[in-house]
Amino acid sequence: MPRLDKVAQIPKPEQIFFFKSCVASNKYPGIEACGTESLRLLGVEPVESEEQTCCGGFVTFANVAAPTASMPAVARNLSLAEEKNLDTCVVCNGCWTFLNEFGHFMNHNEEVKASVNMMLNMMGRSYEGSGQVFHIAELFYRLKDDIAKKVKRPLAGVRAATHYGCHYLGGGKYSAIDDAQMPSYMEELIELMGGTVVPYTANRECCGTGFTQIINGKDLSLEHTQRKLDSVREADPDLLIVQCPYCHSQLDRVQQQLNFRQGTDYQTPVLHIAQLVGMALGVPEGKLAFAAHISGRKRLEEVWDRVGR
Amino acid sequence: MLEKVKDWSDEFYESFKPIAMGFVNEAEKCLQCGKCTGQCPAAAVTPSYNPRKIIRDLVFGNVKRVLSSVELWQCFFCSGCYSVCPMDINFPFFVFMFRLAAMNEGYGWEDVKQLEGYAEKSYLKDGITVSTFERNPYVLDTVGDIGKIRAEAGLPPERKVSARGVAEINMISDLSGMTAFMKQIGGVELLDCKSCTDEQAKRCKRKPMPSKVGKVKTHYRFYNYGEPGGKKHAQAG
Repeated sequence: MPRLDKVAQIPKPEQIFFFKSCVASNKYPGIEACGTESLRLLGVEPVESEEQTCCGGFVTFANVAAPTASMPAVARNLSLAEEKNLDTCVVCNGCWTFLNEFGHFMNHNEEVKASVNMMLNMMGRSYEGSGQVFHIAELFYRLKDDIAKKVKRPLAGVRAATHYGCHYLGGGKYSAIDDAQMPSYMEELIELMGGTVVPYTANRECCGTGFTQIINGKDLSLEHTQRKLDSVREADPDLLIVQCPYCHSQLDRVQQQLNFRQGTDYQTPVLHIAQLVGMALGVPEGKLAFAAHISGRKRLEEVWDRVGR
Repeated sequence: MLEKVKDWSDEFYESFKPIAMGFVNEAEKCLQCGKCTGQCPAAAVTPSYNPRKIIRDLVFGNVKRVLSSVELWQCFFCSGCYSVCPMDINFPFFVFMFRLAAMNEGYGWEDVKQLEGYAEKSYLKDGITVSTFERNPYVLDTVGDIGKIRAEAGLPPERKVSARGVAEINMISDLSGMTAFMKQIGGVELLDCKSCTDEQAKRCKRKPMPSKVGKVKTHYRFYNYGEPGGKKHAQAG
């Protein structure tokens, strides 16, 4: 059950700073295109900036960048939104935790903030800590009444399963809008758009990327993802809805790898929540960029036929 | 007996707390309830990985056992342990700080070596950590040119960070000591797949562990918390 008091605190902005994610831009461009487009349809104008870099969370937690560099890198990205007097909207759980937690830490530690600002002042920027960071799924949940009114392609007969991703609910257990163990806002959104929710056993399990384990401990990572995919296949949904591009890439790509390595036949299309909302709101087919998806293409076509292009 | 008496240190935990910058709540509050281990995705596939035991060793000061272990590098960073912890201990941040401490002792470099490209080749050069480069030929066959897909979706064919943005993160990297850290790691050779020789291609797949990083001599790690888990080892045994 979502924390409704927290949801009520989320503003309904006219403009928002759209923070681009590395995986969403370079592997699954549909997430980025649909994120901006569906926000626009809901009456929120996304503002982008070319000066925005990656959040830097991956290199920090992979221990290849000194941890001291992460605070100023976060402050710099947040200051871009502050310059325009906007809140930030992210599409990735990783970006959300990293910007949110480190921003929160700086706001409550004056010394750290002062030393970060010393660095930023050299490049003509400054960090105040006035803006907030929202996940795009939070915004969708806040704007759910508008979504219900504006559905153009009802998802009738589409059976969807959900995967929330660890870094949103687990990493931010006090700042997320839902409970870490029994979340339900994504299910609510799916039903609102006319779809059917399919429960499965391993819903709360991690996708198995394990941050760097997909690179360094590949056998562990694949084994865990296979457990998750087995459970998904048992429930047999038409779509698996995620809210993090990194989970998206793992669950989508590992299906092909397992099919190749072990002769299994996993074919479940994986969609980001921004793409699903975009689909329901009637975003043109090209913008969903399903050509970048690897697994379950045939099934995706069937869903398209049911929903109507 | 894995541990010797002289490996134990009462000072370690006290010296560790200030570096953790208040991100981690006090580990001495740990109840040893094991909820963290119960829901852990890494522990599900490799039983020797046990967050509860690692916290116990931190509080009791059994430093060497933690720092030289393979298990420390098997964490998935999913924060599930933090979400269930009744005492609000943020264990993933402990792992993060522990790994830095272990690198200082010379452990774990074979893993870190595989990842440095993300910082040097992608993050500091383009401002984007994950590039469009596709390592898996099957994915490449299925997807094709990502620039074309981006163009069809109404985006510019290539996402670019402005020169000012890249210059600024490089400046941050210089000022905050990240560049010096990268130099200590040793940097990466910039290889191009089109002009790559056979010998380079051999190295490309898996970089070997260096014998020395800066002034630190590197070591191989041990399974300090029990038999290695996973399907691979289960079949072998």
